[in-house]
This record gives sequence, structure tokens and C-alpha cells, in this order.
Amino acid sequence: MTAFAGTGWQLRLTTRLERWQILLWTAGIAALLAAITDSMASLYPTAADREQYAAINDASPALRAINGPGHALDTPGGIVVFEVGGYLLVAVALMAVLGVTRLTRSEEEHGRAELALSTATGTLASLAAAVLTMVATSALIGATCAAVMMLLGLPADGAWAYGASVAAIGVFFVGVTALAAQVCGTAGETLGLSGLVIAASYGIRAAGDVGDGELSAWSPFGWVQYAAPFADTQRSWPLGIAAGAGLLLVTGAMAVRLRRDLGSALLTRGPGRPTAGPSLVGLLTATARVAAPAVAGWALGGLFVGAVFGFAGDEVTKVFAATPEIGLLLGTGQAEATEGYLRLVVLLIALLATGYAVSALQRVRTTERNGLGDLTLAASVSRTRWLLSGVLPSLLGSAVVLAAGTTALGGTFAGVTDDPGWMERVLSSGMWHLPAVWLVASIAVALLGALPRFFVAAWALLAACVVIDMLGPALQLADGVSDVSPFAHVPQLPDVDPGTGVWVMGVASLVLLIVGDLGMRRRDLG
Amino acid sequence: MQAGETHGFLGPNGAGKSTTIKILFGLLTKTSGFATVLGGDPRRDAVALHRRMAYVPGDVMLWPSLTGGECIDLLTRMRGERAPRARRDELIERLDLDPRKRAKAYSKGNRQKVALVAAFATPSDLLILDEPTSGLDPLMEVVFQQLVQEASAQGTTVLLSSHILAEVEALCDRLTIIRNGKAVSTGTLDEMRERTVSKVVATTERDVVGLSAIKGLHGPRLEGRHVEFSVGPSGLAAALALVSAAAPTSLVSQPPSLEELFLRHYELDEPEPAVAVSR
Repeated sequence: MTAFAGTGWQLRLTTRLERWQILLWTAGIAALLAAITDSMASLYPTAADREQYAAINDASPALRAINGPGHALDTPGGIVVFEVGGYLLVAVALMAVLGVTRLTRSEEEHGRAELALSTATGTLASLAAAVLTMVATSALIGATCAAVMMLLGLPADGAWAYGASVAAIGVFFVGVTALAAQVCGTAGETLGLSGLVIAASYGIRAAGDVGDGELSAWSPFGWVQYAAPFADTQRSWPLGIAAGAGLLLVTGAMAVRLRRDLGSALLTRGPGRPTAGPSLVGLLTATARVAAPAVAGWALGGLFVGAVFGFAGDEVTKVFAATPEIGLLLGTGQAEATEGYLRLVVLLIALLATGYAVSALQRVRTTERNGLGDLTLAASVSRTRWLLSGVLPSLLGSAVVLAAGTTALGGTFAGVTDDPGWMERVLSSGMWHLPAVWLVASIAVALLGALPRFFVAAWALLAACVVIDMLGPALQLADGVSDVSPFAHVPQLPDVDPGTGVWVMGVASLVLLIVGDLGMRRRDLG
Repeated sequence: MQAGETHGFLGPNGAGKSTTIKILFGLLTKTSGFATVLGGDPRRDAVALHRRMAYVPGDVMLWPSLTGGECIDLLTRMRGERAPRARRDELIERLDLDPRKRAKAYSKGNRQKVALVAAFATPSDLLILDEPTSGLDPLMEVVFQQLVQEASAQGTTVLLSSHILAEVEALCDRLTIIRNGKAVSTGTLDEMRERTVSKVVATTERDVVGLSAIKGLHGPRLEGRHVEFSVGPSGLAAALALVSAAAPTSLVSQPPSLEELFLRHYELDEPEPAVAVSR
């Protein structure tokens, strides 16, 4: 098999290139799992506490939509898996997509694969090494999860089953990305396609889990969560299906790679126009052209999430209507429980919009590093205008993503509940999240202008917001900590009027944008 | 190409030089024709062949987080060799490269030096260089030429794609000019000159007569006793006979420079200029 020749060297290269990423993902996921496991043990110490927890959550389709099907919710392990297990599966899927893209299409796009292939390295060696590295990383994270759970006193059997679920979902998305990298010609497109597969898989599982769960059989998240760690019905064959499907996708990717040339892709673009059209008059229109497909992709993700959770909302309200005692259990009325569900989905969409906002600014940082920034600034383009080429798409694009997602959520929810008033309430609550989204974006702008080497902190801030806002209650964070997230200061449904927090954030954003501009005008490029 | 020679590979941008080279490395599949490298099929036998081949691409891209030294060692090891430490260090010294810098901090020329060190560090049978000096300064260009000559002396076959004609003229035994993916001319520089015109400039005591009757003679220009014309190999003897009959006081016959050859082949049979769009 000369196609695999040199895989050993490639493997040493990939582990060298990825070592920090592997360490950070593993440590981050392990830390989060440990914190939740510890917090749950203190929140539900006795069997009676857990019985009550199970009674509430078994009956809540809203939480099932977001967290996944609950299994053995009256056991400490089952509670941990329900509270954080689903999120960590998405995190590992994301880790696999990012890693495989970096090691395959990105290497090819940037001409490094050419140099490697000119040595005694087979056609499939770099793909094989990328797959092995990321499969091994998934397994490492899975084993670490199992170890953390066991160290914190959960039963070994269930701990290993959850660890294996984490590894299996990683393997599946390694396969998805390996194939996407053959289909798409650029790393950006590969990320986009694989990201859409994650979003779709999550959405299908969510829609399935609020109902009878049948639809979840079409989602890889549904497969691995069917393994039901810590439950009496714990089974490992669904994990085999997820991992097996992943390996099948890898085989498909290898078959395509053998048949294609270096640098080519299944999807190719025809030649473009030889001259700039009349609309391409300057940096900002050029930026709009580059940013439009990205905004469209993220908005599509927002639409999808909004629509799926909007439709699922029907089941949610039906269950509340049929069994009013749930409201009593939750200590809330039926209306409040519904609003709690919508609140969480709006937050999810706002975090998605923030993801786009930061990625649009990352693009400016990337052009600065690859030399396009030099070329742009050597033309008669001011520093401010160049910064604007990132700021405008970031601010406007995130508004589009947020509007698309909350409109879809409000519209579908109003439709299924036959209450048109929801449309306006969800949309206006959603749009009041914009100051929080823009505050994160403005912090990223300030970093870009004043402390470009620490731009990665903007991504860390986004990750912190996700953890604080989605997992804050489960982690029993102190108010001082959860207040760090700007999303703690926007009006939450049923409240749709802006509080002072919104205006404070608006002013803070403006100041940060000015800081970014001043920094950008003063500093060296590079 | 013949074994052991240093072969120049010329052609305008977009003629297919880099594509040809990538086909020789099995990176691209050919759509027609045939390619054999060191007696093997470039795609099927890629791995075995690459142990005997070294490559310097025109646009060297390295792993940004690795140092230049690491890239050099990795590339030679991936070829299945381990470069003798002394040879590697000697090359780094001669090319004036700092191997401790990370690749992301290197300029284009420095990235090229990394690929050059990796290519020359171990002996190979075939060295393929795709515009290897496009980022190097003149001093390094001299070092590069020495390296190619040393490799050639040890029996390495070299394919050198280049736009720098002086480099090709200094290093290459034979050369090929391609246009639009087809080889339009192959041979030694002398052979190619033979097939093309020489430029003759003379000052005579009497008028030169009868030049226009000679086949293959272009643009005779007579200014008093000064004559200039260019003529193909078939008419050169007859033309010089006419000149010598006119008692020349000075006579210069210039073979075409490589540059002229090159330009002639590039422009020859040029189709309608691409920009002349009718409206």
C-alpha cells in the first residue's frame, strides 16, 4: 500500500502541529465535566432530591430538546450526562471538524501538502495521519471524561459508556470532515459544510427528542445518546454505529482522494469575471462581497435552529397544557415555563450570532497575517477604513443572523401555537440581545486594534459566554461570575423592555470601538 | 531529458511549466501524452521515485509553527533519508539561513532557502527546481549556481524551470521552450541558435549588392557604407560572400542571445492579441 507510505512521518508532523490544541480541548472539556459533576453532587445529594429532579426533567420536552433525551435521571451519573453531556458531544464534534480541516484542506490550500507529497509520501498519508490524530484525540478526550467521572465517584461502567460516546461522536465527525475536505475546495467551505452537518444533526435530534424520539434515529447525536450511560438499559451498539459510520465516511474520503489531483475538489468553481464589475468600487464593497456568503451561511444556521425549536415548541406547550402539575413542580406557571424555553433558544441564537461577529473580525486579523492587509493598506486605504472592513460585516452580519434566527423561532412558534403575538415578542426580545452581541464584537475590535497578538482572547470570551449562559445554573456560579457575561444584562422573556444594562453596553461598545480604531492607527502591522 | 544533464525549462507565465513539474511528481494526472520519470510511472510509482528525487517549488510554503531547521529535517526524513549533519549545516551556512526562526517569520527568499537546503542535503538522482531563485538575492543566486554545478558533477540530473536566462545559460546543457502546454523547441543552446537567424553588421568600402535575392534574409538596412541584416543558417554563407566582395572594413556577426531566442519563440505565431476585443 504505497498510498499510505510515510504516514508515520506525517503523524509525527500532525501531532507536533496539534499538540497545544489537543491539550487545550482535552483540559477544557475535562474541567467543565468535573465542575458539573461536582456541582450536581452538591445540588442533588440524596435519592429523594434526585427523584424530584427526574420527575421535573422527565416531563420537560423543552429541556430534552436542548440537552438530549434524559436517561436514568434519578442517578448522579444520569443527571451529569443530561446537564452537560449533550454540550460536550457538540464540543467534541466541533473539535473534530476544526482539527481535520486544519490538517487536510487547509494544508492543501496553503501549498504545504505539495511539499510533503514531493517526498516519499503516499497520496493518502496526510489524510490518514489527520484522521488518526483526530480519532486518537477523540479517544483521549473520551478516556479523560471517563476518568474524571470515576475520580468524582460515578460508577465505572457508566463513566466508560459516556467516555465512549464522546469518542464515537468524535470519530463520526472526523469522517464527515474528511469527506467534506474532498468535496470543498477551500478550508472555509469545508468548515461551513461540516458545521452545517453538526447544526442539522443537533436540530434533528432536538426535534426528535421533544416528540417520541423516532426522528433522533436520523442524527448521529441521537445514536450516541441512545447509548444511555448510567441507565439499566445502557447499550453500546449505537456507539458502534456512529463510529462505524465515521470510518465508512473516512473510507469514502480516501476513495475520492485517490481519484482526484492535489488541490482539486469535487465541487469546483467556473472562471470568474475578468474585470471588476461596477459594484466593486472600493474596499468596503469588496468586503461586502467576501462577507455575504459567510453571513448567509451563519444566518441559515440561525434560521434552522430557530425553526426547529419553534416547531418543537408545539410539543412543549402541549405537554404543559396536558399536565399542569409540571408547572407546580417547576414552581412556575405554564406561561413562564414556555417563556423559559424560548429564552434559552433566543440565547442560543444570540450566541450563534456572536460566533459570526468574532469570525468576521478574525478575517481582518488573518489578512493582516497573510499579507493581503499590506497590499490593501499600500493602496490609498486608511487604517480606519480597513478596520471598518471587519467591523461593519461583524456588526451588521451578526444583526442579520440574530434577526433570521429569532424571526424563524418567533414565526414558527406563533404558527404552531396559533398565537401571532409570539412573533413580535420573540423578535423584540431577540433584537435586544444585539447590544450584548455587539459588546463582545467591540471587545474583539479593541483587541484587534490595540492588542492584536491577544485576539484569540475574543474566542475565549465567546467560549466563556457559552459556558456561563448555558451552564451557569448547573455550575452554581456566583452572581458575580454569571454577571460577567453581557447576556446576563439584556431583557429576558417575558420582559421585552430594555433595561439600563442595554444602554450601558451600547456606550461601552462605542468606547471599545474607538479604542480599537486609535490602536489600529498607531500600531505596526503584523 | 537525458540522464545526467542539466536541462533548462522555459516558457511564458501560464505555459504549463509548473503543471508539467507537478505531473512529474504525480501531484496532478496528465490528460494526454505520457510521462516517465527515472523509468517509472510518476503516479503509480510516486513513493519509490520520490526517494530518488528532490523538489524545490516556486512558491515554498512551510508549516508556520515549525522552525526552518525542523522543516529541513522533516522534509529530508520524509524522503526516506537522513541528511548528514555536516552537509546540512554546511548548506545552511552557505545559504546564510537562520534555522532557529519559525517559518512564519521567514520571507519568501528564506522559505526558498529552506527548500533548497532540504533538496541539496542528500544526494538524489533527479532534482526538479521550479523557479528556485525567484526570491533570492544575487549573492545567493551565485551560491545556488554552485550547488547545481556540484550536484551535476556528482551525476544528478537537473530540471531547472526559470525565467532568469543568465541562470539557464550558465547552468544548462540543453533546454526546452514550451508554449501553451506544448514543447516548441528542444536542444542545446547552440543547436537552437543554428536553427535561428544571426545578426550581421558590417562597414564596407563598396556598396553591398544583391542581398535581397538571398533566401531567409530579413530587413537589410543600408546607410551609405553601413549595412545591417539578419539571416538564417541557410543563407549565411551566401550573404557573407556578398559582404566580403564589398571589401569590409569591419564585420560583426552575432548569434541570437538566449533572450532573443526566447522572445522569438514566445511571440512566434502569436494568435490575435487577447485584448483586441471588437466592439
